[in-house]
Amino acid sequence: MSRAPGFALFGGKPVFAEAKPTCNLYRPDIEVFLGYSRVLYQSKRYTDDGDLCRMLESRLAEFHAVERAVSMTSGFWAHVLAMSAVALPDRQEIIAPAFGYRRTDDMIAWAGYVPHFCDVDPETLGPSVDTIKAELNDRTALILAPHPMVNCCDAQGIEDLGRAHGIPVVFDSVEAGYRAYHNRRIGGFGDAEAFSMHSPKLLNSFEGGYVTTNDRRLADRLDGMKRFRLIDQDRGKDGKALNATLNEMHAAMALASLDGVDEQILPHRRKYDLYVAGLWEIDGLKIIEHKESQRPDYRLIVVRISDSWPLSREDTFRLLEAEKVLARPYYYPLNHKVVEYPRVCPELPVTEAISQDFMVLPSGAHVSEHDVEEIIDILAKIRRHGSELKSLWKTE
Amino acid sequence: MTGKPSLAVLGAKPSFSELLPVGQFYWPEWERYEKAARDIFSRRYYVSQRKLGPLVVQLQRRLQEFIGVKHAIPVGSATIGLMIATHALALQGKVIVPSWASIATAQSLLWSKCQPVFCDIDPESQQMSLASVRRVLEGGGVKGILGVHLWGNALPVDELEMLANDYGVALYYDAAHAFGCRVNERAIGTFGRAEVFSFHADNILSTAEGGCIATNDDALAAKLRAMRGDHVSGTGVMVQSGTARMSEIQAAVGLMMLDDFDRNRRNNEEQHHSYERRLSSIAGIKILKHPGVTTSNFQNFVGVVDNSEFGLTRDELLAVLRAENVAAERLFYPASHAVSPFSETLEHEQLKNTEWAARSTFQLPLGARVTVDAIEQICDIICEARIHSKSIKSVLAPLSE
Repeated sequence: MSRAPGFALFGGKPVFAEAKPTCNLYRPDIEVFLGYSRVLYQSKRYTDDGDLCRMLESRLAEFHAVERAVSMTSGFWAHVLAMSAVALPDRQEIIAPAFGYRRTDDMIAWAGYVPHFCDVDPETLGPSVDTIKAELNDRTALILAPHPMVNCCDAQGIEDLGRAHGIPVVFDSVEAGYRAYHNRRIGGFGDAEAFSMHSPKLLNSFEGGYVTTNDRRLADRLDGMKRFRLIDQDRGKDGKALNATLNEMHAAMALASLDGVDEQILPHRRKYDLYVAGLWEIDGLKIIEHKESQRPDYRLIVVRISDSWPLSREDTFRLLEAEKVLARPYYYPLNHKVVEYPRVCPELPVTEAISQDFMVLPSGAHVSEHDVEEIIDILAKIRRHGSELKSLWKTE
Repeated sequence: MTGKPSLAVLGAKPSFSELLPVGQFYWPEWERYEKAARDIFSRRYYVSQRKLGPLVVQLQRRLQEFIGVKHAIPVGSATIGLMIATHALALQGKVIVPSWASIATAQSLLWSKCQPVFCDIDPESQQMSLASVRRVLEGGGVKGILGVHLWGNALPVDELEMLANDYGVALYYDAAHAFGCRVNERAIGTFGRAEVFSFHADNILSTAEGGCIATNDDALAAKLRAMRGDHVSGTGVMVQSGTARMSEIQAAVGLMMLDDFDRNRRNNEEQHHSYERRLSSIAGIKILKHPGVTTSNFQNFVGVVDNSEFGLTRDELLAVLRAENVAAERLFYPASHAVSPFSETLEHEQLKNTEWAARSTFQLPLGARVTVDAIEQICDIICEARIHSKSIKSVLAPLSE
């Protein structure tokens, strides 16, 4: 025991009394939220495209510099409806990386298609023109391109690829809402982009999501699909529709979060800078840097674990979790390994090679600058005692 | 009542200065809402993430007690609740559903590769007709029955259960309108494989949007919970998830509405009786009652216009009410089988009664936005409309052409 001094996993006192998560859990000003809530008390409309929803949609369109934003009950259903609305109806497959949001294939299944997994670019960790192009075939109905947790995938290149091949493109921009690519705000690329406002994300609407597009007809169609409002028009593949309305309380929260969004950036940046400086000194861990040219929000801290790090990722998590540091793996398990429904899965050499190399460290509203320093200290301590910890586990 | 008509459709001032909508719209007073919001902000627990939020847990427990069911699973939207229930029951193929219901009911089936087969309704109760259900079952190939309890009334649950058992098909319910209703002291929510309630603001228990799936089936409940998407990884059940989390603020409102349930139900009942006292004697208007339940939530007031006796069609009566700023509604119009994509390809029963109901049925405002005085005024308008039906027809005729 003495060889692993003070680690909570071996009986020491945890560094933190309260868990430190990776999710944002942004708390807007309660008075601002209550101010917006007054609107729903005046109108007595609690859902179904009320005043707050409409206000939110025009504010979001402005925020992303796009023609339209259509609010939705969640990011999940925002994706499903966007994909249903634009995917080619006589084709079967949607191309998406396996190294991405864990429930991507569930979203694709609800939309009525089969996921066709593609590899990722080792630099961006997102899909690239080449990795997508390798999977295009005459069954491809849509490209679903997620932006990685840090920085953008090649949104322009992928948009151009889709256009050249006549394949619609939807971006999963859940983590990229604040960013810009080639000086264009995220939100206006491809046919549509889908966002989440679930409380761990940059914008917190309790629960919610939205789709942005520069195509007004598509926006009208999405608006109809989410409220059963279209009678004779096409509702998407198989004419499906559902109730995916964002209620007015959630719209009030989204508006309050949007009011405070710019003020979030500086605190995120400060913590990010501390991580950059602290991790610089720790051999075996390398932070993925937020590119200033892409208008980052500096919110997510993604670290690459290299071979010189003494422990496996899972053992590192065990040590951290005991200290109440809720670090988590970056997109794991891989999508093509989870549920057994039909999918097309080619060889994914880059994904297979790097998918276990990344972890996400705590950030967001529950984490202070001091917390970040403590977390760096824990990691440095793990590094220092690496060989002892390793031998300790070997004898277990 | 005689003399110069005071109807807006004939040029008088509208009875109501602002639009009176159909729907329950019960909602907590500002002070309670503000307190709940402050509590949630101070806890910083906004929505279920890895664990269920404390208020969702509380709501779940209270709903289970209230209904008397083993599992009540709150969801963020009732339609998505129905979609998840259909999926969790592993239904694929033909499912019997009434055409005379919200379009959401039939739509929920399309997301699970199910084919809705529409059945007709009983003309008295306007609930799905057992005879019609039986005929579809006899046609063969049916995998399930999605029953719909309409407007604070219930389907003949025992007979349906027997039919489902005889033909070996899954039976589950859209109970959107039936929260708090009972059949011989057994609550709606305990019948079939599962029942899905809606907590949309239109219904007696509101969380703005939302609902819950009630079931006594442990394995089904585990699957539903895993599908809902708040702690997928913890259950060990591999499923096609579909986010349907209820937020803490929705749960907070739901808990307050549950506290107010008895009061709101009584208010509904009084309003119902106020309408009934005035309208039951008017020739050509028939009021739908609740013979299928021993306790109703009285959340909808629904009637039928007989054109030949009343002197106006249902649509003409609604135009009269609309001119007075009363947003009385045609309910499910057109009925589901007449709406795309169902109108194009699907097979269905003869839907004579459904077609008739779609032409003649209407719903009047009842709930938080309505007072007994307003009901008196609405009833005055309907009485007057009958008396002046000829002049109303002549005013409205050019409009309908």
